[in-house]
Amino acid sequence: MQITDLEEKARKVRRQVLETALTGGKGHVPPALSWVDIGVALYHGGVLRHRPDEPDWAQRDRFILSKGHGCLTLYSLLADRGFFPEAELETFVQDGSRLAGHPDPEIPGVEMVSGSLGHGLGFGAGLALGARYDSEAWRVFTLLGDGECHEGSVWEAAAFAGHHGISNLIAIVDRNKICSTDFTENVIGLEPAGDRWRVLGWDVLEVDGHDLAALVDVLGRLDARMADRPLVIIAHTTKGRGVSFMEGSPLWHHRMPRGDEIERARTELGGNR
Amino acid sequence: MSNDPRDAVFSALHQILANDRNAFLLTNDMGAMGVDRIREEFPAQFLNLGIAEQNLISVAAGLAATGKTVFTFGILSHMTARCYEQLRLDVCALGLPVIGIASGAGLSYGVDGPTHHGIYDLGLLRGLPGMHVFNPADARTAGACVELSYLTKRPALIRLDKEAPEPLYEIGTDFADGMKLLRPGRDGTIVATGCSVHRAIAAAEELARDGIHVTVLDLFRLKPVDTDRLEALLRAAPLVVAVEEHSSVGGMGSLLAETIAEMEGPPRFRRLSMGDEFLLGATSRAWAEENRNLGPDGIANAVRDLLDAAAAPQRSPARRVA
Repeated sequence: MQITDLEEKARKVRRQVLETALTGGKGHVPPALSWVDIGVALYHGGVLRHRPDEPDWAQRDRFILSKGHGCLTLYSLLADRGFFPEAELETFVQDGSRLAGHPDPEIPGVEMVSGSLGHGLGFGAGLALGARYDSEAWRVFTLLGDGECHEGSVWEAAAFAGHHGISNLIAIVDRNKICSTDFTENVIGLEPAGDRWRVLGWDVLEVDGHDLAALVDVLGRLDARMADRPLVIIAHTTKGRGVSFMEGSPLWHHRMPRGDEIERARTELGGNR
Repeated sequence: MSNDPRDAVFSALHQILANDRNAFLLTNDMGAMGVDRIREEFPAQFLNLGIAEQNLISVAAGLAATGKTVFTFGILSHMTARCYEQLRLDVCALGLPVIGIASGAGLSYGVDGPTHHGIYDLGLLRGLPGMHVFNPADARTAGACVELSYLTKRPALIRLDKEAPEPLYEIGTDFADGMKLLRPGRDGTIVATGCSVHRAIAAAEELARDGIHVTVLDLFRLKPVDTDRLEALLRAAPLVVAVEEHSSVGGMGSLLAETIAEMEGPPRFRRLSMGDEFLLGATSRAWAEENRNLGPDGIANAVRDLLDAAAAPQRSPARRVA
């Protein structure tokens, strides 16, 4: 897929994130918007090996959205890839829907229950360990929020994976600089973020998390990586990306746009309803 | 054959790992002779994850999701409360075969202080949908719990006691039903679990010398429970005494209370437990027997009290008239 096509996909996903949340009357829109480009690169950029018509395909790469509250983007991506009908997005957070406010494996393409933070990296390390033990080529991608990196269990898992050189584990940190109510650096500083991973035995790459060409380039070269260490990609992003009044504002975590904000958000995001 | 439940457990585990390359043992830096042997003989199926219980359980769950059966070994109090959310979401919500072997049931480590008291976990574990919870009273039951858990391929936790009592059961006993009648008696039933089973038997023997004959039931699987069978057994009893070396909240006594409360014509019921408190400082099993009535005398007295209470209504009007 050309970069322009990926950009079009990203536009579609962003708009769908907003519309899905509006239909459901709730949702974490800004944390979803921050990783849209990363998700598009993974699912549409030829990175993740997967079969939408065979979600449990044994050789699939495992993708874990450890920051489960960012699920609106995941739901849009999975629907677009054909894991379930796009019309199902309209059931988001409705009673009985598979699409709750945080994801679980009832949804085709979802590997674990996430939404309580700090579980995905350890679970992913266990998956990767199993693949390595079985000499399987599939890889594990775990997307973490940066606020999630305040959880101690993230660092238990990071130390474990680094110590054991679990090189088929790739962590991506959605470094949007804002946790639930404040800037991460005001709450508990995370910088220098790369060094924290490096000292635990990880290779570290930093990338502009909204530069689709850069993302596809970095993620597309993973198999050529001669590595005996896990890899973390720190993706510098903007929370609420695409909606000016949400961007970079600690006010916007799970707040929903109201009144005029709705049309402004729609206009700025573009795409189709 | 050793009477130590740990030996039985690691013997069963050794056999499983020898026959199944997809079975693993993970530990949070907890040692035992049986662990040493497994580490030496099956290094590819063993991992020490260090003192990091949250990651221990998350990694175990991830590994289990690739088709492995994963045993974890650690201290009961740490391997339940510290990583409870990982047990809940990573293991139980996915129904994965992660089987905890948890040392330190009850006051096994009582004199080591409240950090190591295994008396607060059953309410937590029973609250996890899909979890299988075992509390064996002897080595043979403990070994069987490992084998049953392995075959069941469901989330499980096996509590281990440090005592090494004479075996209660013959080799080859079928443990699939989760409970065992140890002796029959028409006057009442003592239901016990773990180390308390042995105190219950001693209490029953003491009572028999006074002509009081009670049934002793070893309830070694606390989840899932065959409620129909349990109710049938309890229905036959005029009185029931529950004995457990555990908090009064959420354990076997709670389980029985829940069961009895829904029965038609419930038996008289009393619970003996560690109560609802923190025990700071060193607390031995002997102390609990003496001060929480968990020894044979305390249990026997509880039975006598209930028998007296049953007899009291007939006598009391006469006393009032007098």
